Amino acid sequence: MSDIARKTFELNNDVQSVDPTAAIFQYPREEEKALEDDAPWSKDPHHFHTVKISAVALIKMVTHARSGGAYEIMGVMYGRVKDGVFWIMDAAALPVQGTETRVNAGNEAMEYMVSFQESSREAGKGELLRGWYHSHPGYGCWLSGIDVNTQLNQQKFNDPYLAVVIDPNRTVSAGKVEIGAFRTYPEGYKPPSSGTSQYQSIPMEKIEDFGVHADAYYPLKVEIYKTKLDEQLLDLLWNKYWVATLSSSLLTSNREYSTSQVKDLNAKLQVASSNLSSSTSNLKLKSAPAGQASAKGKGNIKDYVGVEEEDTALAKVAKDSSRIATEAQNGMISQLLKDKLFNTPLQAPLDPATARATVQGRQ
Amino acid sequence: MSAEASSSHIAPGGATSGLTINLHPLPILNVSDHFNRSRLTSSGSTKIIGALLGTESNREISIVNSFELVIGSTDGDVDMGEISTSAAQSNNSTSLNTTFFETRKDQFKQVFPTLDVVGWYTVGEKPTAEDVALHRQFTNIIDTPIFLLFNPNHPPSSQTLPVTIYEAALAEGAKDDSTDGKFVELAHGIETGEAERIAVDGVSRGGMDGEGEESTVVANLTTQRNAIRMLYERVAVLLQYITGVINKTAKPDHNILRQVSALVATLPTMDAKEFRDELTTEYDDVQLTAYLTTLTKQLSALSDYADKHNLLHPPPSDDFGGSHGGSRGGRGHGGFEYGGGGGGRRRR
Repeated sequence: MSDIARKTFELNNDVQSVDPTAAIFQYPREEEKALEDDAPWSKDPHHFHTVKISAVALIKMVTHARSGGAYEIMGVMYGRVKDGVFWIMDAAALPVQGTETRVNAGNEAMEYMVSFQESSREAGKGELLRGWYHSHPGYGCWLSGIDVNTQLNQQKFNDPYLAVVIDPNRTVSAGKVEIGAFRTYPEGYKPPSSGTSQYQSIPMEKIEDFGVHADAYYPLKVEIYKTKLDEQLLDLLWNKYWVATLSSSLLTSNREYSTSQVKDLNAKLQVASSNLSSSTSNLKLKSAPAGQASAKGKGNIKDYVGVEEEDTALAKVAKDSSRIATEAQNGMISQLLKDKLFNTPLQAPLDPATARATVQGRQ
Repeated sequence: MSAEASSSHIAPGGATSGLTINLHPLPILNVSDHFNRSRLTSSGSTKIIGALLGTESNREISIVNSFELVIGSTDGDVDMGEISTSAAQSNNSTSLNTTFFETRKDQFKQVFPTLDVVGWYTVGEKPTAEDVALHRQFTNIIDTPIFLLFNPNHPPSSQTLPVTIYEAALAEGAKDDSTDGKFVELAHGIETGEAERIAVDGVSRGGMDGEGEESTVVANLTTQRNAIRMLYERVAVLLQYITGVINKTAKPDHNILRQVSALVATLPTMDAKEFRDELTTEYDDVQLTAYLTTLTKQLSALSDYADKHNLLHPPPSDDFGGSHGGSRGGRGHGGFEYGGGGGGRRRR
């Protein structure tokens, strides 16, 4: 390839100065090495707060996760660390066949990993192993007990190391990538109360596993980065594949998954209804500073300042239910739009100016 | 697409083997990443090549993934890092490292058993003599490889992807010099898997988290509107052309006009009674889901209220449980009905 081409490209795109990818590629290995030796993450369990994933790595992971169907898949991620941020630059699949509920890397996968990385280095990809990803088809992004153990071990011996979980089923049903990035706390560490932890919907049979280990790890903020060239390509790609948006139906492609969701909801509702008689247990009265708080039921003491509440089982079911309903509505809206567009003759002539304004969203 | 026929390595109008090519976004972005990495990390004189992974069936090739390859000696210990680029150059710089190719191919075969190497890619504006030589080498190791050329110097104003796909021109007769060592361009379409499309969309929008908290309904509507806008703009172009033809300002192209007419004839796309019925059923199902969700929410709110009320104003007598239990039973029943309805709706 010609140098002139490259130079023109750089001039046209002003790549060097602002492109974050350039910065991360040029980030000297020595500096990273020094950081590794210093290992600030071993002192501060919250050292890493963000992960930036490259466009390519993200698409690789999501398509790999989807290709597993109902089975969990697993892979590794390569990248760099800087200022409390993981930069995930590439991802690679591992030859591991998971089951519907677990996936684990055996010795063979380890050997594969080593030889794969060796080859990558030969091809000019010198980034180090920075984490692993696996899929949770249909049950959300969090770490199970086994996952926590795996991650804990990796953080002991291979730190800095990151765990990423992708839910391909929810990705397709929600129309947005469902991904989570996590790091475990060191054993014995008591995290500060995570008061505002986000609610997520977990299927019945997983709730216990989720609940037991939820305090053993924390999520990192997930961001995606792309180069300017990527950005141009993505724009051009959209010019080509917008048709797919109009020619696919969310309702049809998610039928199986939404059925399983409704089933799960049904099971949860049954449980919720049997729990209702004892449902005041999740209300805790906040007492005035003095601390003469007594058990519930003595509510006639006047110095309570408020009620602390956890979501009741029923409230959680309501949230799940509204998620399912929203997704179904989204699917239906696009079906109706298409019906209007392609099946319904116009009643009156269309005013070109209004039509244009409408499709451009200016109305 | 935009490649000039003047290039000496393209056979203009040459006979193609009639392959249908579906290109996925991942390999395109992967090549872009390879180019970027090479531009930013090495001294810059390395030729970028890689293999295309995909499936082939019934003369239809889908390119779904790709991986980087190395140029250099075949003994396999050439490191393409900064240290030994000079070593690679002292070798014949246009020979493919086949040992590396085989290793890498096997590695990908282990994780994606359904994918085969269907071709290779490089970066540049036009096919060069070097590319022709490389293509010959690929022909030796895989059957009828296709060749993808990525042009990083693509005018940003152009509406086409900076990607051209070629195959070797077929030699007519035993030895035909006019097609020897030349490429013919193959038409290609863009195809995406569902998850891939969502990932690409997510990347285009930029965020995953944080702002992702905004309503999914809004996001969905925006996607729909964008697609409809694309459709509208394309229809507008057709309309403009036809107006031109009618006003005799544009030259009538019967091929295009026939296609337009065929397109119009397909409308309405689907007006069979069965389709209507299905749509109505589906619509009712969805509305029912929404209705039941609303009920569940109301019950939850009521239950919350009741709980709080009971906590702060405990009933004086012992029949607390009794009176309360009555209302609970009703709610439990509501829950059961919800689930049952759900099961029934999806039975089809």
